[in-house]
Amino acid sequence: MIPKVDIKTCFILPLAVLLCSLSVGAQSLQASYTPAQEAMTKQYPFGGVEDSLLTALKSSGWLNLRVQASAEKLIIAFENRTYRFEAMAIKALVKEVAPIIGNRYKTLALIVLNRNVPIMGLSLSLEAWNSFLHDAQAFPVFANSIHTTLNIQADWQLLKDQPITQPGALRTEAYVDPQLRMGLGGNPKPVLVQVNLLPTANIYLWRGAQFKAQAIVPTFNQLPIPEDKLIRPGLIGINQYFRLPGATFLGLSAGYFTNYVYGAELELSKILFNGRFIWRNKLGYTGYASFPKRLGLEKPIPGWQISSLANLDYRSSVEYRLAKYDLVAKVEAGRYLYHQNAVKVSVVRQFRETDIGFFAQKSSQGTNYGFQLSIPILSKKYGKPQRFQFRTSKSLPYTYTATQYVVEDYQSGNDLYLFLKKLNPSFIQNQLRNPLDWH
Amino acid sequence: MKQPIPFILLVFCLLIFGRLAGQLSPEPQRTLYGNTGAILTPAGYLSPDGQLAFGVSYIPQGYTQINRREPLWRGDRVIYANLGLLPFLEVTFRLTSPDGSKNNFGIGDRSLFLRGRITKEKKILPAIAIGLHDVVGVVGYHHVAYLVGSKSFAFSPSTQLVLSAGYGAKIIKNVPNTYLQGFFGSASWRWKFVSLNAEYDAKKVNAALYVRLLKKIDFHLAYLDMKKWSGGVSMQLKLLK
Repeated sequence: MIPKVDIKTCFILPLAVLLCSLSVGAQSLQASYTPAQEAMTKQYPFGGVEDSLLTALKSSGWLNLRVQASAEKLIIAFENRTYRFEAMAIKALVKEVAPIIGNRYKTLALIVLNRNVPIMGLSLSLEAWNSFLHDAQAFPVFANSIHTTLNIQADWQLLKDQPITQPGALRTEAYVDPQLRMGLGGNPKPVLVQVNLLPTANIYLWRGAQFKAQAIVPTFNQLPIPEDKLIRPGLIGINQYFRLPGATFLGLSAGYFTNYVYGAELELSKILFNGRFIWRNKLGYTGYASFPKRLGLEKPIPGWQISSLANLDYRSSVEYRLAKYDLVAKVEAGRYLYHQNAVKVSVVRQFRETDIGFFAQKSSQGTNYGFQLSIPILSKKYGKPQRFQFRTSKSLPYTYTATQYVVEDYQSGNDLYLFLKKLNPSFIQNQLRNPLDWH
Repeated sequence: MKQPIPFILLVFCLLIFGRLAGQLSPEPQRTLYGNTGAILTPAGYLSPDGQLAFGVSYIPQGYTQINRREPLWRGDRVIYANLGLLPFLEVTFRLTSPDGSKNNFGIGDRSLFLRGRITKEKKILPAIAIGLHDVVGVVGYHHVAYLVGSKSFAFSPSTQLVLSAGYGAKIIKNVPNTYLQGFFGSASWRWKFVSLNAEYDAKKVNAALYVRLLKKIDFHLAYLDMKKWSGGVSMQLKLLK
């Protein structure tokens, strides 16, 4: 049953979170992009090869670039919005950087950013790279020189006050995500299919902040849900995350989430043992909201149907990564939407860009199990980032559940978890130690 | 033990050839049910790590594990996905739906097959795997647990003989399955992209011709119990390079 609408209170929490984020973000933006710094981005701090390097990297489309050099080591921080696969982006960057700097440095250290927040770092031997360039047999030596880590504090301290070349903030990325749903039918159609297109705009705001707006456009629908035949809003919300000391990430989201939910969500993730363990905690305060109004199997009525914020959900998960196989085993327990308590267990393997896994869950309603997969979508490389950039979607996710006992949950637009998965140090190390794409 | 003679012959062959011929791990082929094996019987090899295969096949009435007791029912369509989830673990998801039935069977019977490696093939030692089919779900039409070993013998770079033998039984009581209950075995003669197969599936003798095109697409033509035709097609992709 949907609680009575309390329009005065239903937006208070999201607005408070939004204002908080805006306030913190504005300070962050002010700190990061003063007019003086904008001017500094046009002049490079180095004389010689580093200038050529920054010019080349800028023209290739890398964002939030920072460079710092010492006698033997060159450190570069960058953000990728050009390549679908982060490991491929790192390989492309190394291949671009190495010929420019030649033999000037022994070690190249990279810090990979997302929304201008440092996520992970890696280092490799440039001497081993040069040997590999001349002799393909030397690849194992080069591969073994690659080391990845989440402990980037030392290198980041040297970089964080450097001027940013080609800032990634205040840019909009537009794409169309596909959505596939299937349901059980009867004769003559045992499987009912629904395909939606989700035009999405991501606006990168200040450091760690992103605003996302999405619409759901039905393209093919056999499911007997009346409102699914209409164009309707998808996820619309703001997300802000911070990297705290000790590989800890704090995320905050507010807005209209998926699964007819609006509200706010707080997420705290602690990453241990260089990404082998992740302890993740989520707390959500949400209410029901839908557009159009849902009336069961009757024709929906245009307009919003909003309940007051009444649902407190929380969950905690621990995941362990078997680095050798890029296999993640996860146990999650908590209270989900509509006061439903559940325990979920899953095992997912990352086959480069394809994720395939299995899960089982037990809730107060019943038991469910199934599989989940995420398949990459063409193309591998997008155009250079502009103020407004259109790109193709990155992947098509699909989840199959064997029974009707679905644990209702929502997505808040916090994609940090996805980045932590794609940029997990052992996963990246495995990808970089694979000779594919290095030649 | 119902008919141990074929099994004993296979074991005998394994031991003799195992000492005479060099080992060669062959590219595994899939059964009409989707898991690695010969025609209907499994093999000791697993799908390579990161290999994903999709396929469809047709099992005529009388050879399916689901007896639908309907006059219009002609057989079962099988759709499957097979994955080398780990180097030592193969997973097959299978959907079996009736052909020719007017009744509402819904989406069909969904089952999950898990197969794990016990030993890798060595010079003398065969590849040995354990299989657990259809243990989660409601009815367990395809439920069986088995142990199977396979050995390959290379006579030239493009010619191999693959022999497999195993034993299967139900570990969940009261399931209707009669598939692989007892000793089973198979022989596969492979030349380049063509493979001739014969097997004893603990109930009957089957034969099949397999053709692999472009190293990715398999066509299967089977003659079940030497009485009825069956067949399928599958495609495989490598997720790891």
